[in-house]
Amino acid sequence: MLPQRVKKAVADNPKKIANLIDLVNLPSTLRDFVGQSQISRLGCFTRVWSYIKANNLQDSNNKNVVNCDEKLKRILLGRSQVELAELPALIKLHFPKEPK
Amino acid sequence: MGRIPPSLRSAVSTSLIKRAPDSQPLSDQPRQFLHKPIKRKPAKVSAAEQESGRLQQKPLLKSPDLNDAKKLFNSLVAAARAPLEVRFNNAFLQSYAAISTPDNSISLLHHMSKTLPSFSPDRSTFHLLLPHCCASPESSRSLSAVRQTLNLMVNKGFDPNQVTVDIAVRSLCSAGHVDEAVELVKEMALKHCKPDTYTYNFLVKSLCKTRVLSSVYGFIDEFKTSFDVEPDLITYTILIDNVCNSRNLREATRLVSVLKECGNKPDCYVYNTIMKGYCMLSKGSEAIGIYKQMKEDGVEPDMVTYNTLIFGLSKSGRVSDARKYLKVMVDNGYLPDAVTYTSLMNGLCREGNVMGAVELLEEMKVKNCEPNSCTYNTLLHGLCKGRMLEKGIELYGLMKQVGMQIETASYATFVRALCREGRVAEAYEVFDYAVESRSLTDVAAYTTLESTLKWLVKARQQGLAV
Repeated sequence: MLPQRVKKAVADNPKKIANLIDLVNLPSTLRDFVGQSQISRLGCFTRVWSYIKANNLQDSNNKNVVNCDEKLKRILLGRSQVELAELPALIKLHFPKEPK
Repeated sequence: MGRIPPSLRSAVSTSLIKRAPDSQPLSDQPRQFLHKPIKRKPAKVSAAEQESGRLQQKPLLKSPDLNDAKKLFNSLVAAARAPLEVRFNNAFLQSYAAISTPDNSISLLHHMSKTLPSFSPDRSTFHLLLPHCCASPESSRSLSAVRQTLNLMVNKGFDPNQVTVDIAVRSLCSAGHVDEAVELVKEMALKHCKPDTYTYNFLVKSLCKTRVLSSVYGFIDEFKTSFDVEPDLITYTILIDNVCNSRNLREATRLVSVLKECGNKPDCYVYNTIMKGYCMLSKGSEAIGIYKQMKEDGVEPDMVTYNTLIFGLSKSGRVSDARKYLKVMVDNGYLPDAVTYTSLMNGLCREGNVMGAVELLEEMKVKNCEPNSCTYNTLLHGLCKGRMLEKGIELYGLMKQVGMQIETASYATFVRALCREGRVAEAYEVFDYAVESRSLTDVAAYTTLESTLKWLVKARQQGLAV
């Protein structure tokens, strides 16, 4: 039963999925960070998350908080600390909805 | 519910469905076809065959180019000390057909019989060309390629038989050309031979997947009147399964009465299918009704019956009844398996009795019944729903240790439970695991995580969450 339902959910909003996986031309700030000119929102999230993990940027006392380094600060509104919970929303800011 | 005998399944369907990608070394596939007629189980591999098998180990053919293949074949003929066997030639042709177009394969066959007069294509040669002809993406073209191969076959003196039809139908259906398969079967029934029950039932099953019910009935009627092919018990089981899946139990009941009128006695499979239908709709009393009817009709319930019944009763919230039937099951000599226990656990979790479910896991271990990934996922789901996150995390650790996959529903519940407690970093870690273990696609996993976090941020703003 379950896979059918999931399939249905995916089929129901192809736009949402497209919005997540379509390649987008990046603004220059993000281009510097990911090192390529096009990426999907999902790809960008994965990139940032693995960057955080690779550079041990999670606060040692509270894993839910990320202490941004200079590079990360530049793409996350210049904040020195962000919460992991906000991360998807912050990244979404770089991917504005396309005007119809 | 397709009940194709295993011997047939191994010979026809699996080898056809598992169409080898280009990169795969050409090993097993050809050999399965070498034993004709294919409805027999492969005999022991002879020494000569091992020889040809060894030849097939290396991917001889890499390019789909016809001239390359011709050249390679010429060089093989020149290098061979003994005359090449039909078997070798067939394997060669099959390897080429797997990576090339039907037209080119047929050209190669012509070339092979021209350069090597001793090679006379046999029935199996055509049988192994057929699936490749059926698989071409444009449906209109595939049937013409099939016709071409069949004509060639008739010209060489082989009348297409039921095996031929079966191969063609199965490959056409697995490539999604069901309508073409029907057309072909009709054509063959007129010209050569009627489909056997296996082909017929397979076709009915494929039709059920793609067409509306009335059109399937039309097909059955047409075959009854024009070709004198009657639906049998298996056909009815397939139909009943289909209507049960579309939640049309009234039609299922009607089909059972039709089936009885036709002189068939419903067997265990039919009853299990209907019972499954009721269980899907959480109709516990009706499921018990079917069980009683089975007893009245003198049909002995099997393992599947009991598992279905226990699943249905748990699903409709009647765990105590489910336990009762667990006892009946044991009394009748069936040992409950992981499916039985998982169904019961599901019921207990639904009732909110999560600890009961955990106890059941212990009981499973005592009874030496190995829990499967579904068991663990059910339990994880239940623990998170029942606000026993710590236990859930513990269980997740166990799952992770053995690399068990996490199902969509349990993943979502688990991530939500973690976020609700403000343990976002752990939720991220679960996200990583779900993607790494290939349990979910990254899109699905991310969508869940994102929407959960969105909800969390909102709840925090309203002062509702930590």
